[in-house]
This record gives sequence, C-alpha cells and structure tokens, in this order.
Amino acid sequence: MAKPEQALKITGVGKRFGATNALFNVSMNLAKGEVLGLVGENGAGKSTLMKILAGAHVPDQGEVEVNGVHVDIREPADAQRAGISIIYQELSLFPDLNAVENIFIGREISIGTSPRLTSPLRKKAMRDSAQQILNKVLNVELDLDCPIGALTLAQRQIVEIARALNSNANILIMDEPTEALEKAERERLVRIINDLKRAGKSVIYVSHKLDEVLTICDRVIVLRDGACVADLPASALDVSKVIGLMIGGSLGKQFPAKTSPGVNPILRVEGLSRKGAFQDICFNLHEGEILGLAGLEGSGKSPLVRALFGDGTADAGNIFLKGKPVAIDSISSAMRSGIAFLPAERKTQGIFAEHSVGWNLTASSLPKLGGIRLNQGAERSWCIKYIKEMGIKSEGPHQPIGRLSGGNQQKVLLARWLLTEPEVILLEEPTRGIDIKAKADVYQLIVASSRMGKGVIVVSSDSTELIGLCHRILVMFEGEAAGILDASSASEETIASLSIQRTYEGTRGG
Amino acid sequence: MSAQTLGVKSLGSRFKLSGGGSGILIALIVLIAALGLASPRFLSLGNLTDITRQAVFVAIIAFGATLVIAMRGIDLSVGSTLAFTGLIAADLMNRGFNPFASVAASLAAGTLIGIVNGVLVAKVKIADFIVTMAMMVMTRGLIMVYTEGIPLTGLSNPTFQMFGQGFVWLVPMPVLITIVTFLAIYFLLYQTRFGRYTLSIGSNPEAARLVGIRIDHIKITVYALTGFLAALSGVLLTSRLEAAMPEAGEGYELDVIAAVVMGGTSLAGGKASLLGTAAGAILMAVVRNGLNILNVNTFWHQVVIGAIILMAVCADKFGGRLKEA
Repeated sequence: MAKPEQALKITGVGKRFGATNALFNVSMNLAKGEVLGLVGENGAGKSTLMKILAGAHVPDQGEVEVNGVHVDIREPADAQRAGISIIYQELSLFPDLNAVENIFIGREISIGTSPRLTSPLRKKAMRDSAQQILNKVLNVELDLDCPIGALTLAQRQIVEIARALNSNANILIMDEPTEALEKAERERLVRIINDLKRAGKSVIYVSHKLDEVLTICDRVIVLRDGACVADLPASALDVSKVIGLMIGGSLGKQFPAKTSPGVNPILRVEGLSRKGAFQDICFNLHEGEILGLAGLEGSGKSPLVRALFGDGTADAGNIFLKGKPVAIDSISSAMRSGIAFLPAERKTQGIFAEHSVGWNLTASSLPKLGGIRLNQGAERSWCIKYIKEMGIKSEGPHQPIGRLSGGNQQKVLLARWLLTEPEVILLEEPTRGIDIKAKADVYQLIVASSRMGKGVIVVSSDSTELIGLCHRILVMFEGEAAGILDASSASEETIASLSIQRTYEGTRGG
Repeated sequence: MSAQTLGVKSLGSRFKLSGGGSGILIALIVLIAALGLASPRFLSLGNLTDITRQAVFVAIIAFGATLVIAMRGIDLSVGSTLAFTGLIAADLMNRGFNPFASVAASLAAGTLIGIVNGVLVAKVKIADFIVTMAMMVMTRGLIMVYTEGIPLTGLSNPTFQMFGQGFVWLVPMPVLITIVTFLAIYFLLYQTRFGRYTLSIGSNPEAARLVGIRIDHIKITVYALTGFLAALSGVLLTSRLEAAMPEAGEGYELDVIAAVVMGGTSLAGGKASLLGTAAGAILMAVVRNGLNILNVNTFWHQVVIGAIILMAVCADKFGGRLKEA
C-alpha cells in the first residue's frame, strides 16, 4: 500500500515510438511537499515522461498513482482531474486576456447553482480569488487588468502557476522554468517554489541547469536513453556526478578526434550588423574548421546564422567567401554562393513529412537533375549512395521520411545539404532531440565534412557539444560577440559566463 | 513515359493511384455500371460522348486547381474567369477579329487574372480565399456591367466553332484538348522541378523556403496557370454554345474543388492525384447525367451531388486511417 504522503507514484512506465524506446520501465515516487529534479540529455526521455503525466502521450506499459489511487491518464483533462499541471516553457496563455481571465480560463465562476455556458460571470468573485492566490499563496503583486501579453515573461509564468493552483493542482511540473529569466526573477521563482512546498504542493523540476537543480530540489532523478539511471538525494550529488550519470561516462568517445583546420579563411565576416538582432560581428572561418556559436536565446546567434543564409539580411557589414565579397540578400543567393543551412526545427522547418526519403534528400539540389524534366534515375542513384554513405536506416529512398527516427531524419537533412556541395555549412542545433547513438553519427558526419575542407558553423545551446565538436567557439551576448574561445581551453563555465556578461578576461572580439 | 522506371515509382510521386485516388476510381466504375443497368440509354455512345463533353469544362480547370490545392491554396475565381474570358473571345469575334487572335487574347486575360490573384496572395500576402473570392465577385460584376445580363450570341465563324464542336477523327476537339492538358499538367506535376516545388510548398512551406524555393514565384505561376486553364475552358464553352453567357461557370469553383478533393488531393496540401482529379470531374458529370436520364427532379440533383462529395471525402478519410493502422 502506498504511503499516505505519497503524491505521485509511477511504476514501470514505458513508451515506444516506432523503433525508438523513448522510455523504458521508469519508476519514481514524489512525496507531498517535495521538489524533485528531473535531468537528462535531450532525448533521454524527460519530455516523454512529462507528456505522459500531462496526458499528451499514453504509455505502453506502467501505472500511475496519485495520492495512492490508480489513475488512467489518457488525455490532458485526465491529468487535470488528477491534479497534475504542467508549466510549459512555451507559455500556454491567452495574450489578449488579463491575469484573472487567464487564471480562470475553462473554470469560470458563473451566477447560479448549475451554471450554463451562457450564464453571466461572477467577475468580482473571480478577481478576488485570483488576488488571493497571487498575494497569499505566491506572495506577488501583479496588475490584474493588464492583458497578459503586455506583462514580462516572468510575470506570465507566475500567472501560469496561479492558474495551475486555481485548478487544484497538487503536482506542478515545471519545464525549464528559469531558461529565459533574469537573476532577480529566478530568485523570486525559487522563493515561489519554496512557498509551494510549504503549502504541501509537489514540484517536478525539469532543467538543464544542473547547479540550479541541485540547489532547488530535494531529490534528483537522472534519465538516460529512456531509463532511470539514478534516484538520489540532491545532497549526495554534485554537477560533475550528474553529468557523468547523464552521459554514462562516454563523453570522450562521443566526439570524433579533431583535425587541425587549414590556414585559408573560407568565410570572413566583417562588421556584420542588423538593428535589433546583432551588431558588429567579425570572424574568420577557415577551411576545415568547425566554429561553434553559443549564446542564450535572444543573444542574436540564430539571426546571425540565418543572415549568413540570406534569411533576413544584415543592414551593414561584409561577407567574404574565399576572399571574394559576396552579397547575400536571399536564400537563393546564399545557396548559389555555396552556403548550406540546417534549421533547428526538424519537423516544422526541415522535413516534408508525407514525402519519401529520396524526395527530401534531393529537395535543395533539383536544378542539378536537369533543366525541365527531372532525371529521376540519377536522383535515385544519388539517394542510394547517400543513404549508404551516411548510414541512414531506412527501407530505401521510397520510404516516407515521417516513419524514420529523428536521428535518421536529421541525417537525411544533412545529406540534403551535402548534396548541394556547399563550401560553408551552417548547422542550427544539429543534434536536438535525437538519441545518443545518432548524435555520435551526426558528429562524425560533421567532422567528415570539415575534413573535406568545408567550413562548418554549429549553433548549439549545448556547451558540451560545442566544446567536444568545435575548434573555436564564438559566444554571443545581447547581439554582440562577447568573445571567441579556443575549444581546447574552453569550459562550460567560461561559455556560460560569456553568455551572460559581456567582458570576460579580455577575450573580447576576434 | 518512364513511369515504369524504379526511380519514378519509388520516390513516391503519385504515379500510381493510391488512397483517395483508387477510391474514386472504384466509385466511378460502380456508378457507371449501376447506371448502365438502370437505363440502357446511359451506356450508348452518344450519351457517353455527352458526359465527356460535360466533364471537360470542369476537368480542365480542375487540373490547375489540383496544383493550387496541393500547394495549400484555393481559387474561387475560376468560374467567373471562365465567363469573363469567354465573353472577351466572343466580343472580339463579334468585332471582327481573327478567331485565333480572339482566343489568344482570351487566354491572356485569364492568365492575367491568375497573375493578379497570385501576386495578391504571394506578394501582398492576403488570404487566398479572400483574394479569389473578391476576384470572383468583381469579374462577374464586370461581365454584368458589360452585357447587362444579355448573352452575346451570333458566333457563326466556323474556325471558332471548331474549338468547341470540332472532331479529330472520332474524338471531339474539347476532349482532345482536355487530354493534352492532362498530359501536360501530369508532366509538370510529376516530372519537373516546378511540380516538386509546388508539392513541397504544400507539404511544409517553411521547409520549402529554407531549401531555396522561391515560393512567391511558384505561387504566382500556379495561379496564372489556373487562370489560363479557366480561360481555355471558357473558350471551349463559348465556342460550343456559340454564345457567351453572362452566368456561365457559376458554381464551377465548387465543382472544381469537389472534383479535386474527391480525387484524393488533400486540402491540407502536399499531395496531389491528377488522375484522381480527372476521375472526380468525370464522376460529377456522370452523376448529373445519370440523374437526368433517370428523370430525377432537378432540385434533388444538388442534394445528391452534395451527398456524394461528403461520401467520397469520408471514404477517403476512413480509408486513410485504415491504411495507417
């Protein structure tokens, strides 16, 4: 029998997606008033586990108990009834409604004992109740009349927490809650979490920021490859131990050996600026070099790399390819200059899901297949060649790409761009959401292209990846280059501190 | 055609009818067989020729609309464009212009309407539904202003009549033109970069942009092509009737969309079945013709056609689900 203070108990939960085992026999407990940290690499199963609790995925096996009672969570409404609420990274509020309306959305108080959809609302009661939650439980002051869209991100997050509390949630799942917060806001959130704890609410805290997880949480669960590899009190752990558990001690093997880059710059960027996005960016990218691009969301790394691909152009500055100035004012001009770009969002910006592997593979190289009529025989032989060379696991060029695992889809997209025979390859989060084996393959492929003399720029929010893969790392802060680090001497700490402050021991510029 | 080379088939262009496409083909065969049993007159050569002649006006436009819909667009202006361009041809003929020049001007006008649609959708970025609806209403209004609602008749030029009424061997000219159009669009859709790009835009517009596809160019071209085909259909109809009717093509936009969707092309874009569209257009004509032959009250025709559209789309959806499972 479950102990009465147990808020949540998960036993043997598993979930498969096609060939990938996203989650395998995971069990965990969460006590009332406990803050549990959930950590793991991208693709380790954190989000699958959260989605199962939120009712977005139905597990293949396993049981979920809330307050000692078995619950069957098949859809989001079931999770809500069970008192489980997720505070999403992408806030799910209605920007045009005010705080009260947002807090009460879907559970409005109406006049009458059995109100209908058309019953008049009791606005005063809702307002008082919202005020009560915000002031008494969360201890924050908030403008209740202002549309949510005009509030800061941190304030909106608080409204979201208030909404969860108003829906009688006892278990709050926070997904990267501090990712976009300033220091003071982070501290306030930590205080709020402590208040929630005192009020007997349980929190599952999901984050990449391990030091934060270790200070905020009572206990930490580490997931790796869909399995729970550690369940320990936070006091028994430190950051390096957690990292070791997350990657299974295979950090060294994950990245291929680095080769030394050539001396000739293949891409030179001088004083590149776009108002409100990035200012005065200068760097050289050499033949065979892999340059990392680090920085927080909003630091300008993404607009910069997209500007190099002609997706939103720069207002000022020059770009030189192999010493010659080039005007990159559109995607097609960038492609003509030999620049390739792999976007971060594979599903929404990369694949043509209903079409075949072959179709996806050749999508940016069709002009090479003949003037009017496509040479589909040649197309097929290209596809077969690349599928083999890149180790893409598929039934062949005809298989719909949507049926492939994320890692294999990513390889197809990489092949799509290698097929254009680019000089410079821009990669945005090339290993986001793919499993560790596929990651290692993608790293191999990136290094292999660099060996062929191509210049590679990797934008990533994963510092370990940048250090392990790149030769140098350009760190951006508020649109400026905060510094260029040599990967051999860089650490996660130096990248992090450059990302959040401009000057760092004179490594400015580059 | 190299339909049999492995490359073509295996890359999953809709070379073979599948999903919705095969559904409609079966429905069509069953319907023809049933009507043949119900009325011997139905399967007579004369009647079948009538059906084909009926089907071509919708079919020609629907081939273009297949591209529009595969690109996640919609074009409601085709019926008005048909009438407008038919009127231009008729009016120029009546003013003594050479029939070929008149037809060329008519086709050019249709293309121009399509380009205006395309520019407003792709460059000005107004919703396609609104743009083409406004164009539909405006063009029809212009027709009424010019004709005051009275048909333009007296098109007795034999060269002009040939377009809609002529025969090549035993094949009626409009049918021949439809077949040629079908083959041309088929080639465009499945064998060229243009076709790939059109389907890519429908499948994932953002990904399409990021592989360097000039989305605006493709969109404008697709709308222009559809305008051109609406004009072609307008010329054939005017030549057939020897008159430009102000209300010609009314409701065609819906018949066209119905034919495309019944044929298995998804309104969500990304996939197209041109053979399915052809079958869809024929099915619409068969149903109308069958109802006439069976002496069904004309008011019931609309009810039956609406029901058939719903059934075809439901069958498609259901079939798709079965396949996924």
